[in-house]
Amino acid sequence: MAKIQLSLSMVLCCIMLLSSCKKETLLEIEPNDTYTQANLISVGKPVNGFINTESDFDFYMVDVNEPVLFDISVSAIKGVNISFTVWKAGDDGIVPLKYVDDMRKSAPERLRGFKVEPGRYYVSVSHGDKDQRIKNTENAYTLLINQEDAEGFESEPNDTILSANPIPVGVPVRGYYSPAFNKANTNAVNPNREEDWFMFYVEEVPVVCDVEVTGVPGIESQLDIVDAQGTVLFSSNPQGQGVSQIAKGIGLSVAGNYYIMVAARNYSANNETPYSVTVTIRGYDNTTEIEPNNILQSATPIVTDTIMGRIYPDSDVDFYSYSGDSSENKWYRVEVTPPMTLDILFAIYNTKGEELYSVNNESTGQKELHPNLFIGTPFYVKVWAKRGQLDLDNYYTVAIVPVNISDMIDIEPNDTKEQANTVQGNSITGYVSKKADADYFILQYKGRQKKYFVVTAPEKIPVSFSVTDSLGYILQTVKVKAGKSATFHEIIDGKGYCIVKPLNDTYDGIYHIEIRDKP
Amino acid sequence: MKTVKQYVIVVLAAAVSCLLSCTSVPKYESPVEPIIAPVEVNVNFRFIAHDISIANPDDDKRCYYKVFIDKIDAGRTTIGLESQKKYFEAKLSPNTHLVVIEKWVLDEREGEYKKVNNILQPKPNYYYFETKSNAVTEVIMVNDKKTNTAQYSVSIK
Repeated sequence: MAKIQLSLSMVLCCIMLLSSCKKETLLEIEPNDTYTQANLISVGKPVNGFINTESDFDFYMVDVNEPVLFDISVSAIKGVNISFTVWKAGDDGIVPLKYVDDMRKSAPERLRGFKVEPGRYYVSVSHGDKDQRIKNTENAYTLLINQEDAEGFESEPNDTILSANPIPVGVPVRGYYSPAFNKANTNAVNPNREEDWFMFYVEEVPVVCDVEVTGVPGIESQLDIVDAQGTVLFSSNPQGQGVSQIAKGIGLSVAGNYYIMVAARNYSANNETPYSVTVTIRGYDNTTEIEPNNILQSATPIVTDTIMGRIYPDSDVDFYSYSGDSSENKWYRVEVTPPMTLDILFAIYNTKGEELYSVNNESTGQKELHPNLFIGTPFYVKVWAKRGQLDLDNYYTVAIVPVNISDMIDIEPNDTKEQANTVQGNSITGYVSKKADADYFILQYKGRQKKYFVVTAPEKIPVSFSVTDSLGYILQTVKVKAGKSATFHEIIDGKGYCIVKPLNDTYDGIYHIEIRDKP
Repeated sequence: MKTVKQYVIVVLAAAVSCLLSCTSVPKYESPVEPIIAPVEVNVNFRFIAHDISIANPDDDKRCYYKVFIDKIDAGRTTIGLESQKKYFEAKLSPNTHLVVIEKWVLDEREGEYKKVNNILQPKPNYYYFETKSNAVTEVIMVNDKKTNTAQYSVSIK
């Protein structure tokens, strides 16, 4: 019996001990509808409160002695869209710092990573704006403020470019995608988006910077880089949830402040895992592209024979400008060699922004080229990859080399009768520039003339050679084997066209046509 | 005396005309591939072809005739509608020659001229003619498109 009594008393003691270990929860003391009536609470000690009326405001205040990060949470109340606001005491009252409302009923609210300095802060709990205001006097909410070390974290509020946090170059700074919404953001494009803004300073230019934002589970992040004039230098594309966003090789040509904006797409939040943003800067050596070069006006100049670039992020487009020695029209060979991961494409643009020529012959990992570009400088090369392809780690290379080919009159594009090149003398030298490249040449003589054509095909490319009437209808076609010659005659009624077409998929080969009056 | 002078003049004139006629005696020229000469050079052969009995304009195709002279590809006529006259000219050696023709019609869908099926080629597709060095032999071929029957006529100008 004594043993049983002893056992019972031990169990009772344990229960009492456990009960004493449970966190003490305070209850709000009404009226606390204004900040002057605020209930003083402590970090780490939860407090319960009620939305007593539709317009009830419950103010709490907390004193901060050293810089820390606040983790402020308010539990859900069934059927109520609850919200809270963080305020700071100023000389003339209180100033709102952050409004937290995910605009959902029966959902908790949380703000993590909110940096506070020594002073008095207020938290007001109330009904959110979105739904019809209702009271709930039966179910209490619980407000809890915890704190953690602020070292290396962002300093909220940094919701606008004007309140951007200065960050050191090369040192990671962490932040939370918290809260989900920012009611104060009235930007028409992304209203209510919670944004974190950072700022770094560049003194010596030109330089190239890289910015990386680490991935966070459940978050599809957005990274923008903006200069002091508000020009967006880089804006990331969707990469999926939990994936890092990286801006590589962003060229900075003006000394001053530059800004980084980090946000979550689709108003999502993660209060558990912080992101980390890191800025690095390196000198520019003319061998790589300078982002942003997504439009002709911001093309990266090519000052050496070759330049390298990356296709990143998805749908990245890179423009390069080539100035050359003189503005006279010359022949150039343009080659773009991709990494093994990319199916690269390129196009040639003139100074008017007109696309003259587009090259897409090969598949992933294979070089694209235009062997006979005839153009005056400056001209532009646009490089991009097939949709959905990107490669952060490997470069493609653009090479532009002036070439000299005698009698070359094949000025691309001459793929149609309307684009035909005029034959001035008695010979035609041309290039099979691409797969299925059709070259049109126009012949013009005084009266009706019988001409003999000696056609020599490129070494590895059999070609067909056609002569047309003055309207471009084919009179005669001959096929010439690769590396061989063939002769035939045709009558030109004052005007006619010659058409050269490759008979296989090979390209990058020179053909020659001699036009004679006699056999 | 006056009649004697007149007689002498007549004899001299006859002698001169005889000498002149001697210089225009045809020389032998070895057969060569006909040359389509530029417009300013004299030619001594002209071939003209056109079609008749064309029921409606839709059937009046752009075409030309390929011309073989003495079994050598000599070229082609000018291009025109079947109903239009199409011309081919050449300088040939004075001799008897054979002209063979081949009709080619534009296939607008393909954008090129195609040789007309043998069944629809003009019949006969050949003609023998004489050429002289100092005259133009003109051969006219009229093809009835309904019956594919060709009528040839020749004139020396």
